[in-house]
Amino acid sequence: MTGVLRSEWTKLRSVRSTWWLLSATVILTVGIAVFLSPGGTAGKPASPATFARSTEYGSVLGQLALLSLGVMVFAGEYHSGMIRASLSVVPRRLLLLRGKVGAFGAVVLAFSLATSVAAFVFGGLVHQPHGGRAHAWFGDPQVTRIVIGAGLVLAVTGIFGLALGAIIRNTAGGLSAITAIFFVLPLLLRLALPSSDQGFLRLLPSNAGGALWNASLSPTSLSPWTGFALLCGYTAVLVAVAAWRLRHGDA
Amino acid sequence: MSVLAAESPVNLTLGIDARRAHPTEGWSCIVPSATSGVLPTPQVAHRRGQVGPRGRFAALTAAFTLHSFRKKATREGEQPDMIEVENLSKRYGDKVAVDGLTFTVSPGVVTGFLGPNGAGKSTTLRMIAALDVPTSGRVRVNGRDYRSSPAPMAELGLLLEAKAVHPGRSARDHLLAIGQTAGIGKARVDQVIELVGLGDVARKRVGGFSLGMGQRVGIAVALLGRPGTVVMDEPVNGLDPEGVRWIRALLRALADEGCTVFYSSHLMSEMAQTATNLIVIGRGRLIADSTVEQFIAKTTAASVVVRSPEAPRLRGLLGRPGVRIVSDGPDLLRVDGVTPEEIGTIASLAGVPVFDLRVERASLEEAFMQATQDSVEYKAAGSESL
Repeated sequence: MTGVLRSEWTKLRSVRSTWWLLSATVILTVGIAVFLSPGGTAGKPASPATFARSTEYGSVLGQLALLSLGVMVFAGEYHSGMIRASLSVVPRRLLLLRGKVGAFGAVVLAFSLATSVAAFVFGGLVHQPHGGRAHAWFGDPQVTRIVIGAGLVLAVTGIFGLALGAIIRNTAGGLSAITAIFFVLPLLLRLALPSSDQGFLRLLPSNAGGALWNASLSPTSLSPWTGFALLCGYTAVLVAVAAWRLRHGDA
Repeated sequence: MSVLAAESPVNLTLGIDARRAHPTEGWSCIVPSATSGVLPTPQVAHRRGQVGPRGRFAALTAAFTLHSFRKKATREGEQPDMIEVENLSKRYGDKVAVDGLTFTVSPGVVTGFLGPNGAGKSTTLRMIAALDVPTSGRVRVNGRDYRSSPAPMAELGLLLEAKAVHPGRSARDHLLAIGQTAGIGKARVDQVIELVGLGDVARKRVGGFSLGMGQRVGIAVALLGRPGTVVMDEPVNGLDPEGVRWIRALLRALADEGCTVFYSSHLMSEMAQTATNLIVIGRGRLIADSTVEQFIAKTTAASVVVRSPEAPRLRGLLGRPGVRIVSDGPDLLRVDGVTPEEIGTIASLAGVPVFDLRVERASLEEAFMQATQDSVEYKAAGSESL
């Protein structure tokens, strides 16, 4: 297993698109957090709720970059034909899948946590009113939840993209699918459903994860960790489907 | 735990220059059974005189010190490398690509895999490597399904499509990534890169490689784990003549070491020189499973060519029931049914001068065309319709 993990890390680091997309994640998340970071009123730090907003906007776009990376990592193997080389040297297919998910997940998790911490810190540093800090610092448990949570959600979303790439096996198809699921579907449903039925929206993958950084705990969203668990559930289902497809199909 | 031998002290360069070290030094094709725990040892005993003085010294030392290990390994009764195909079938919807193939590829000889386009060669090779799932029948590599192999890279070296590489990656990174799955390190990767002749371009993007360079990357991947079985689909595709000769030498050397070598090619003249055994398929079915000589002999007739200034007189002397003679020009006869010894004796007794007397066997290409003319999938229209 360690061999496969090292191999997958080599594959990730040796391709330019990985670094482009990871940089895009950082720039989008941190950049937007900095721009939208709310300053507090004089002397009083901004509440976690207002701060969460900026992290959310940044993370949504960061999610897109990580989803794309996930799709490309797997679908790219099919596109270039590399999957045949990979499967001929690791004929135990589930081992390959575990290695890919493990290596990709580890890289993306480390990156996402670093990114969300950076977004938080830089957002705070930029908007400092004369006197105290712009917003709550790490002592506040809600802040910790939002920051760590943002990192976790980004990472799990990346794995969601990876599993989708494994199922669809086509880069363009995978990218279309993630755009549809994460951006088009919520929008369509919000417009299509009558406002009383909007509760359904909180179960969508994009919003379920978003509960984790929703500091205001509004009634329309799931409780933070429930939402995250739901997102993990969606991802787990996709990974299971990918595993089934990989195991029983032709290369 | 990988079954790879320690790095050989002698540089693993392969060349047609006989003074260089043996190409597969440090590479044994007998894979010890999992229980013996013995690393493969350099097969040094029976080289064909291609070892230089340094290599010979190393060979003797190795042979002495590791002799006991070799005995132990064979006593454990390990499975020699081979590929066994049993009643293998594969269909894609309505189309039957492979239909009830049964053959065995044995170690120690180069086995060629022939068939017209669309005969099912690539499908068969993919099923051997467990990339495709057979519809029925089974394939065994070293006695078991390749998917449950404990050391895949040390058991099977595969070249199917050389350019199965991400174009944005460098050749070295690609080989590193492949090798790391089996614990193969940078040293071996660099060694194999030198072996295939890509030393200068190893760190460049594979997307920019020519056909021949891409092919060499694929060959490097196949050889990386020092496998006991080597399966290649058209290895000489895109290689220059020097590369073709190199592949021929490499495959023969691997077979001499006891490896199982199974490769497909459309280059008949090359295969006739390289392969000992042949497996010919057409339309998914087995057409022949024999040696090259047997295949040619069975499919075409050999005739004796006699060149003599008194050809008509000789023709009269040789004619008898059961003998077919064709005159091919004023002084050339093609005789079927008489041995060259008999012709020579008759001619000499009758005082007929003979300038050329030889057996003309059909080429592998002619034999192949003859055997597969009914099984060609994609037949081009003749040149008259151009």
